[in-house]
Amino acid sequence: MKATLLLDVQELFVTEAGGTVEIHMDLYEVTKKKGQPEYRFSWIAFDTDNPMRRVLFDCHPPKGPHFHLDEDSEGQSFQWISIDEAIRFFREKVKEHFGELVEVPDDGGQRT
Amino acid sequence: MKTFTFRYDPKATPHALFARVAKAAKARTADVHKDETSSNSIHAILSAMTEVRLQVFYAIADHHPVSMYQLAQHLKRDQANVLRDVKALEAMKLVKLVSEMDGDRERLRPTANYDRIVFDFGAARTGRAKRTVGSN
Repeated sequence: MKATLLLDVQELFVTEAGGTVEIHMDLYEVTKKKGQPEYRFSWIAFDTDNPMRRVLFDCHPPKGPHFHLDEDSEGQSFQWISIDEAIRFFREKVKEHFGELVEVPDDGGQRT
Repeated sequence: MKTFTFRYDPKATPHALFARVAKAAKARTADVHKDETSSNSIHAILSAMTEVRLQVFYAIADHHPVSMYQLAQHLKRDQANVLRDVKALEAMKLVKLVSEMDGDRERLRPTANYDRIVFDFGAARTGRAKRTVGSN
């Protein structure tokens, strides 16, 4: 299956609770199949002090879109609606798991 | 030389990250930044890549230990604590743990994915960059 890489980024954020979370997101455009996304993706958010504390979304075959929390290797499927819905759902799970990510941190060392 | 960069970027907010994913999907334009992690928090960068983890990374890259035991011996640290740091480095894609058989025992050999780690906190606004032509 032909896949075109559209995005590959990783960023670090602070949480309101004072933790540090790394988020790595990649996105490939693939040939669309019925009921399946036209993208392949792997999105992970993890605690940098305990990487097994994590939210992992991916969509490798044959499972299709699904997510894992922490050490759950089975994963839970979710219905693909759109890329915007998938992003919104990932963001919701990250918030549930780690608390709110701080948009503009005030960590005493930030340059303005 | 393969370099990994921790980059301070005040514009790298959570909201901006998720917007970038949506934009890449819709515009179908590549937004690829391999070999670097950005953050809008200096604290987050230094919390993720601590002094101890830098020591662990360079011990792996410089000394090529064949096992976690050998790495811990080199660092004169407890193996379980070193493994915790290696797992964090592995999650950040800076190292990998290769499973190998040593006789009938399995061992984990840590290997570095990069030769160098760089911290980029951006240029200061000193104005020097504008004075490069015809001035000292």
